[in-house]
Amino acid sequence: MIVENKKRIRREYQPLTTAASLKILTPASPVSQVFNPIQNEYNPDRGITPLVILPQVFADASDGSWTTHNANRLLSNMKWYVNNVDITTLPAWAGLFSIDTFEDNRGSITISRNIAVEDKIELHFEAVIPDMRTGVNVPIKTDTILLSTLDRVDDTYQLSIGDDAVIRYNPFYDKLLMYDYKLANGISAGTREESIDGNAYERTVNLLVTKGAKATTTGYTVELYKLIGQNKTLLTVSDLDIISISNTKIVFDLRTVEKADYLVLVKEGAKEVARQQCSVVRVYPPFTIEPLSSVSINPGETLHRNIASVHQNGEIVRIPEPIIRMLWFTDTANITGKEWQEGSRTVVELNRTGIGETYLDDWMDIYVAAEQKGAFYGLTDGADDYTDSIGNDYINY
Amino acid sequence: MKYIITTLSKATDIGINPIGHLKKGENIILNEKELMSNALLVGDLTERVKKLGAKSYTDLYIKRLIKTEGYGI
Repeated sequence: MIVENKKRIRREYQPLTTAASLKILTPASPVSQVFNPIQNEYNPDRGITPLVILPQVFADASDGSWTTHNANRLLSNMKWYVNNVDITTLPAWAGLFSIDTFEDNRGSITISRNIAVEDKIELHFEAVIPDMRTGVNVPIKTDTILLSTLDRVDDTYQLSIGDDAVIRYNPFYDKLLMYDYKLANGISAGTREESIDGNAYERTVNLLVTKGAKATTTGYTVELYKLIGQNKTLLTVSDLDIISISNTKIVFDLRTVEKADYLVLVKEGAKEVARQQCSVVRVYPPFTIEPLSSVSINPGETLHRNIASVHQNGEIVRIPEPIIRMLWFTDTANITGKEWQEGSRTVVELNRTGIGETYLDDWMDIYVAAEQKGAFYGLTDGADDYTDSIGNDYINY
Repeated sequence: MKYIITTLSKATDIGINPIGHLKKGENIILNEKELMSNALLVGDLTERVKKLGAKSYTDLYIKRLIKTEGYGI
């Protein structure tokens, strides 16, 4: 027996989607310090209560093949940079920082160094995630964060965001998405208010602005930017991913975001006085799908009906349409890969399947090809967005 | 700013994450801001420190204490 022309066939994986944001783990030792020149003291003094910054890294793959979504524990080649210089090479920082290598806080930096009033320190983090599925090291790079110190004379602004730095949107848990679908299809849907929780696509991010020690809601404006590479684009409520922006909160529409990084700026007049960053990523959890019915075909039957049974995280997904694209196929001895309808239900015309009438060809395999739908998009003719009679954008999926 | 030495268990009881704090044995150093912004404590700093059964120190004094007693992350 001769074996030759062996062919290797590999599994094909979707590339990793990653998001990385810097999160302050010590809110009482923030990135801004105040220097009191009379007492020669920093408040707070990082030599006493250090600053800890975590590069929060999230990874996912659209085919559901990646399960370690909080990816910090996988990081390697971790480096922190001060004004774009590797911190380990800077004598001024020697002994005044440490980098955590432990599990979910892997990569976080603890800083004991105070920053002089005249110094402006920009920090960022770089690392790689080894993707064993594809054999590729996926690079991670965060945006920069500014460490600064102000003279005590100034009352300074600070901005805190009342949410995780990385907001994960999992449409499988979105009751509001289901509400919309049920309402559009004449199914009893309850109330919209009942459907809005922490998993809904309509996500409110609260902004807490303080001036000095006091929280404030006036005397400043809030601007929201989308970061694309080194550029930033000012967003308004006419952008699909933004429902509203005010001095106290931003409401996102997470349905329309695959992955995006946002920058929130607080301005007093034209001058930036505080900033924070956050990211949004769409989650692609694994799910299973199979035809529910496997009843035999009786002689004389002309139609076969079936329904897709979808499971995710051990639960039945009762209405998969807004989340999953499903396409029905049949194979018979005579025709393979015959394509039928899209959706969770199918009606197959048996005389078009190629099913035969002898014991050799009287069988039919029925199956569903499925993938999770990506971010929704606005309908446009290229120049104008389509809207309804009162100006609501049409969003498609 | 004042700094406070309390125990790890009392700090975690009021919701403080010990990560990044200087510690020695059961003791942990917090700063004034952590106590003043804590929703589980009320009153001025003296009252909050008292509620914790802790002591507050000046910047200079606590720096000396960190050195002599060997506090670390």
